[in-house]
Amino acid sequence: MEALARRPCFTNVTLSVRPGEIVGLFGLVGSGRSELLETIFGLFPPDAGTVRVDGRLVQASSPRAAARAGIALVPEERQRQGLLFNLTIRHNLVLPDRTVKGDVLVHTGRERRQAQGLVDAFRIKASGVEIPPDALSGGNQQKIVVAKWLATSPKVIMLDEPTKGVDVGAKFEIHEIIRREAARGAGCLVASSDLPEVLALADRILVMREGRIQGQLEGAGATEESVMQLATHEVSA
Amino acid sequence: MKKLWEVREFSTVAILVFEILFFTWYLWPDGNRAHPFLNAGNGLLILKYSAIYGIAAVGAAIVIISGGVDLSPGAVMALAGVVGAQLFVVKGWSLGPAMSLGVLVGLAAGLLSAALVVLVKLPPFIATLGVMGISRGLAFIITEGQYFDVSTMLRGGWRPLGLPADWVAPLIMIGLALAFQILMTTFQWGRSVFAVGGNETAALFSGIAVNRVKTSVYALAGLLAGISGVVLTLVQGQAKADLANGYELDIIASSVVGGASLAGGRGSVIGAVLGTLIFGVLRNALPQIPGATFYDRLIVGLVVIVIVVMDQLLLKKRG
Repeated sequence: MEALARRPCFTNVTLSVRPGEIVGLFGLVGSGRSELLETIFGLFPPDAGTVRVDGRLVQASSPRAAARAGIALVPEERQRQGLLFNLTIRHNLVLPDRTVKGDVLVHTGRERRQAQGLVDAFRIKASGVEIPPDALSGGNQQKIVVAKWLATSPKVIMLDEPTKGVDVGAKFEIHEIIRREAARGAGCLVASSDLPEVLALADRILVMREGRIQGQLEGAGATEESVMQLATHEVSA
Repeated sequence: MKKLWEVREFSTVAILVFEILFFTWYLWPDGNRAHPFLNAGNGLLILKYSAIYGIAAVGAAIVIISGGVDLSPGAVMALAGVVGAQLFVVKGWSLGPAMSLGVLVGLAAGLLSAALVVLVKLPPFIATLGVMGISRGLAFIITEGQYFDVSTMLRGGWRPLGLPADWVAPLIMIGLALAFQILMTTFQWGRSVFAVGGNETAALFSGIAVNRVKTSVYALAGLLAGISGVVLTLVQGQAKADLANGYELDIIASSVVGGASLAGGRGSVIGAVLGTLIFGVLRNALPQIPGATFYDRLIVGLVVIVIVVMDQLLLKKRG
């Protein structure tokens, strides 16, 4: 991604995620993190800049186009942006994958198997796949949103506050899922305001402040102090 | 598998059956006279007139499921009927092309609604209110207050494919209802309509082409209203600008009675068509009860409220 800008939310942001790498994007609320991810995902047209996957230019004018190019976004607000409560867990789980694949028909049997496979693989605790997701805990709802996107085998996975409002157990499981996806060869971009989470997960940490990348730290060498320094203060050097 | 009474259409069917039983009992004739309500001819009559609402209700249900609302079907029906009739009666076109163009005018009205909703981002209520005014206005401009007499031009009556005209309207309704029920339940497109109606943001974030879905929904509603209008013109044998006046509210009511939620994401095409039959039976039977004619609208209004309240209570019970 090169010099992407959507003023006034962020300007001149250049970042790259290598296959198998987990990049942490740390920034306080209002730093432009979510807006950046949503722009990469094609929800808003950028004022300037380009997005590339495997060196190929992505004309992501919509989430559908971004998803077809191998980009996935697990959005910040699962209730509002992630889940469809009028549809069953099965429909929720297979929707992005079936949409990306351009299915014309709903293949109930095949989808049920796929959904059950995802429920098992991500250890989603639900009494079945043919019920709506509203009775599930926050952690299990979040795992549905993560699972529905990983079902598309994306090349780039962006997660916005992936463990906001989930219990400790589910948080741990979601971290494991992200590590597993990176090991599979996906590039992971984890935006979070949860500093310990970023420090625990990321190979590399980018710090955003007021719509700009303020600096970059290697995951191993970063401390809470060095990250917060970048997130809150003007760079002097 | 869901239990029978958990299927939303169950209560709609139950009310329809109850209604038919009630009128059969209430209107039971003395002695050996034929039953004024329960006979094949009357059944066909109810189906024929319900079909005019029913075809448009298929479109209305789809729009409502997608989270929108369409106030234009009545006016679009009039415009489609008037255009078809004018081409046929005044311009001397043959019946097929004239009526096909009428249907296409309906599609055009639907596309206009779609453009106003998707591109101009007007609320569906306002967009379709505008299209309703435009369509009704164009119908008046085209007719200049006259009416086109289709029936005298159709010597020997309208017998498409050799079928009696009375059968055609119900058959079109049933065919379209089944086709759209299948589209809504077994096609990715139908699921997208439910997704957009349930949560437009989440649908967009799930990779659904929301604008394309919305466009298709309003375009189809226009097309179906066009078909409805042409069928109404052929059934009545004439077209005038105030055709199908006020039908939009009956059509929306039918969809809601059939299980569609105006909040979007819930409902069915078959339910909407069954809803039109509930009102069709009422409109047919009430005038046969002495003195009840004046209560017609009142009863229709009460039925809408009772059924929707009942549905809400049932929904709560199901959890």
